[in-house]
Amino acid sequence: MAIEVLSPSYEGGSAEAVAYAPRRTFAAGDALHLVLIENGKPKAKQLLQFVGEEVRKRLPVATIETHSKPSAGRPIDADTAKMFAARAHLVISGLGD
Amino acid sequence: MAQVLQIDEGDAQEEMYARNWTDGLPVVPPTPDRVDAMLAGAGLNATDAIGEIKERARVLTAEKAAINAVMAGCLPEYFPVVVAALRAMLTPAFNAHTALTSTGGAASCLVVSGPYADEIGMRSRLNVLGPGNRANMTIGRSVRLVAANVFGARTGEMDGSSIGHPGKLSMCLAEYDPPAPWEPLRVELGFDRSETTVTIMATEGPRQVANHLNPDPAGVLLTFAAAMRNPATYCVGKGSQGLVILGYEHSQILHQAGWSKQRIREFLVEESRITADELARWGILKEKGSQHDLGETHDGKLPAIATVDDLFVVTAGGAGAGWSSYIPVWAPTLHNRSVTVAVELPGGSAPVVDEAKIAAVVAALAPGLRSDGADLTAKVTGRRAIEFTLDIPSQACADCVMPVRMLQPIFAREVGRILGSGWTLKINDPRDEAGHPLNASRS
Repeated sequence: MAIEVLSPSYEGGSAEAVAYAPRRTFAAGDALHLVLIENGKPKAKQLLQFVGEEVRKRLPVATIETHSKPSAGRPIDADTAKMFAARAHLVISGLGD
Repeated sequence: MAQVLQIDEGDAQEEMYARNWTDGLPVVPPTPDRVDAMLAGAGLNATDAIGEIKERARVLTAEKAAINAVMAGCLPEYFPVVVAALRAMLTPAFNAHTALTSTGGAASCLVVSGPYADEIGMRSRLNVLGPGNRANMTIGRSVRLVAANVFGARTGEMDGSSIGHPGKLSMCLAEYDPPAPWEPLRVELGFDRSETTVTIMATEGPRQVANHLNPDPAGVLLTFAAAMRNPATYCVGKGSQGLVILGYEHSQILHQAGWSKQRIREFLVEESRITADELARWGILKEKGSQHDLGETHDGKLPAIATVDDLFVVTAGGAGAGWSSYIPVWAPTLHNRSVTVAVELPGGSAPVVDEAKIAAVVAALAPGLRSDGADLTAKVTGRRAIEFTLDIPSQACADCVMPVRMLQPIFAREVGRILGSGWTLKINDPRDEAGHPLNASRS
């Protein structure tokens, strides 16, 4: 005999797509600003700074700014994201332990 | 509204397993009539919002909560507690986005405090963290099924637990009200005694604390402190919240020695601090330059518990040889905090009044007071809450009437006998009122 059951799963559809910040354009010879967002875990800063220096060898990166999140368990807030979008040519982040 | 599926009754369990709806154990098929009854248990409509996890852009409706509560095996009268637990879980301070995801594998530990726990038959005494009680097990299980089915907190999706622990299936206990002057958790957290609250904590597994021989209160608490400062616990040295479940014998030793709950908290928070050298002795290196870098402290000791207010002390468990439990929160307070929410019952917290029974309680208690020249009135002040007021007309009488601390157990016994379990009581005594004429010349 068939019975009716209700689905317990989320059915609200996919999360709304988050708009990317507009791409910054730059010309040859421009000094680029690279932002590293590290999640606060042990050695995350060192790992990302190593990556940043490797990027500097390959691109005309003039300045590197490292932002340390106060908690790995929370994303950066919208205002911080907006600020970095406005002043960075490139942002590198990552997650993990 | 939720999708309706037709499945063969005989294959229902296998079908629900195949759809990845379960936690590994069989579930009750969530038929529309069962879900409707569950919603009615809390007086909610299907589309009512319970809360959301913003980072995942997902909102929990009452209908989805009710479906998962049916599957967990809840009775409709449990659902108001489930809803309160879910509201607590979805409060931003709890940070469900991380608490349900972390490699640390936290359980969603629920502490229910208040008269409704008794009303629905929750267990607060023997085997309080163990199996066997339907309300405890299914309320806790409901929260985890919602986490998995609605928010994707399951292995292979958003739950990254490296090891996890059995409490992730269900971890829910009721507190029994401690003897006066100790206050239950809900009152310590600022709720009314007549309310019932649910406190959610994202926790590691419980550590059983055994001390069978030591009658000294400080000695007993040092054993707790040893469990709390165990270097293998992630938050030791970083500062988190924690839950102390005082078992019967240990609570008796502390209570009879006159320790307040605040003094217990202060003692444990201090004695559970640990030096970086002690951590290193057991192989744990102090974090530097990271989110958990606490810098240097005045005496070189690092906290297990962030502050005195971050340690919760409740009375639960049955009599035995001297067992208690300590349950650490899985992450430091900068990531996650416990949240407490009051249970909302359908029809509000309107008093449950049976005037004849209230009169019977007064009739049973008043004669003893009248023989001393005093009298007694009673009124119901909340759902399963009763307030007595002593009428002491003269100073001579004031000296013979028993003090409240002696009346309390006598009143509690009669309230339990006549009204049943789950009632909280308060006794107003004019002798305690500053400036009352009775106190003018009493020493």
